[in-house]
Amino acid sequence: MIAYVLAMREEAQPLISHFALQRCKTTTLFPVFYNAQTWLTICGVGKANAAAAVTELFHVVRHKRDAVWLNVGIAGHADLPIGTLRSAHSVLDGASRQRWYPPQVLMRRVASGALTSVDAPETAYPDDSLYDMESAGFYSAALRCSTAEVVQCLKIVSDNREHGTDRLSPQGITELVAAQVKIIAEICAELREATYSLRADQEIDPGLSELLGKHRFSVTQQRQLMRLAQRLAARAPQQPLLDDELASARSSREVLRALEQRLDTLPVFPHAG
Amino acid sequence: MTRLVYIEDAVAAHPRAQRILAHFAKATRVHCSRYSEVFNPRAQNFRLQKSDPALLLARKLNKLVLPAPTGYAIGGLNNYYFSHMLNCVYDCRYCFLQGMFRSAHYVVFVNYEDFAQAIDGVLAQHRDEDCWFFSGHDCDSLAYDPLTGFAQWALECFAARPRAQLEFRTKSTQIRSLLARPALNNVVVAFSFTPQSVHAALENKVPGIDKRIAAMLQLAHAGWRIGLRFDPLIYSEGYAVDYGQLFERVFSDLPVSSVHSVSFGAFRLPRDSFKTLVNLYPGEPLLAGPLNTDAAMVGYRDNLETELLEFCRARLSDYVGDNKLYPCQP
Repeated sequence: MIAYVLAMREEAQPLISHFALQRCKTTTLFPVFYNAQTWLTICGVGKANAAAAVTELFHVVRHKRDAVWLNVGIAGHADLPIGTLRSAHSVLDGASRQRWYPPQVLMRRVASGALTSVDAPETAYPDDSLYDMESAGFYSAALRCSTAEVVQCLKIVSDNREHGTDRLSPQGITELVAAQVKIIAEICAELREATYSLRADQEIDPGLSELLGKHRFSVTQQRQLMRLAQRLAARAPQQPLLDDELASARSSREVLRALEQRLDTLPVFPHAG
Repeated sequence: MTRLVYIEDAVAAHPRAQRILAHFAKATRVHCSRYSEVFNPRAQNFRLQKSDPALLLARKLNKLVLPAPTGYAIGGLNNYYFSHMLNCVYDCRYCFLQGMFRSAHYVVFVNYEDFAQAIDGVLAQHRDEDCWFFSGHDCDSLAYDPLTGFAQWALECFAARPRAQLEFRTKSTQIRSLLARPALNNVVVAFSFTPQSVHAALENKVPGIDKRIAAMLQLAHAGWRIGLRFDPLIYSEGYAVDYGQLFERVFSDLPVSSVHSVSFGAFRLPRDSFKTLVNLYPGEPLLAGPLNTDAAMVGYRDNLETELLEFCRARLSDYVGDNKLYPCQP
């Protein structure tokens, strides 16, 4: 799943169109759009709004822990050309001076830069940094929802010393984001793939739910059952979890014992030989 | 290919940092106050980061030299370790480093001169006694050497400190710095090996066994003292054949007189590290094996461990005798 957080409707519109998102009918504090894989919220300007919108979207998507979280939007920079796309390799809260370093391991398609989150529009661009108003709030909140490698800020340069904020128009903002939608979608797909690759190892045989439905397992036993099923899948990936012995087990304890016995019959190190 | 280098402000002008940075002309440079701001935060995934780790250049401020863990000794009484680097360029599925750090980025501490001072401090505590210093606890001592220049510095440092014994521990073939100078008799170059099946399955990016043996023989012929590390020993039903073949391969051309020490220990991990690894790699068969997961140090069930250790001890003893054998059990 991908969760987009954007400040303005003008920034969000190209993504809403690209992914054919529909408006969520549930009452929410911030407008939420979605399709099967993608969620988007429009948080308004400022880091407090961004943090609140992340929190709300996290609840809307039912606390999904392995989502990709992206803050996409426009930003100022002293001299980068208008329309340049950058991911943030550091996010500085200009007010508190707290700094985060989003890992860039999966961000191979786009160059990165420093990003400073300010409380009022920055028109002097004092450092070699992008300037926005949401990233600090977004990042600090989204980092609680997923692993840092898939929590990223993608910024498109909208103003610089040559081309000030006074020349920004709503239509111009939409066009800047629209020009980068394809690459943004590709980056997101790669991030999502990375989370899938992690999840593939966690997948458990469907027979597990059958066992859980058939017998009463304590919480500790459920944990034991999960790990035994995982160990079986690791050492004998072709073997289905459910066999005759497990099907005829009469209690949770018998299920666990049968699984342990089955593991004992497998080669210790299946790579050998 | 390292795309991103984080640089602590305090070492940005350090000549060693500059030399390392020269290798990464195209990499993006990110300045930070302390490497821990990048390396230590929670919510990082070691497995994802291992696909493309960044490099951090930092200064080690304290605890530069620490007492070596129990079972690390190879004949000395005073055993210490120091780490010029955190994390390893290789990706071995049995390695405890995966469970030790939150980040897979490589940290290089460029203030080697402070390590020398700390080593002097330890030597001063043990007047008239030798002290061992192990350099491959938190990293491979030599794998990154063409970039870090660690070996050259370490050799100069230890050449001037004859009471200090140094162990380089490596799975690499980066031995140019050693071959470029006469052998030192207070330095041991220790190579780690596992059988071919284990190497193929669990040691990602590690040079092949034959290449490592060739590097080891070059050093032996140049007069360097060689260490052999069969740690971890990995159990399989065919372990006797696999380890028998491995030992034969390793010792066939190696003069026993070059061998300083042979250490061996069964696969084991601290329980917390084991749990972290299972979370990172739930589908890894090694971690799903018959392990005693309730113990503080997770390892093979007793009978398997004893069987494996006894076999290897007997075989290794045939090659080098008992006086050079060191079991590394905690």
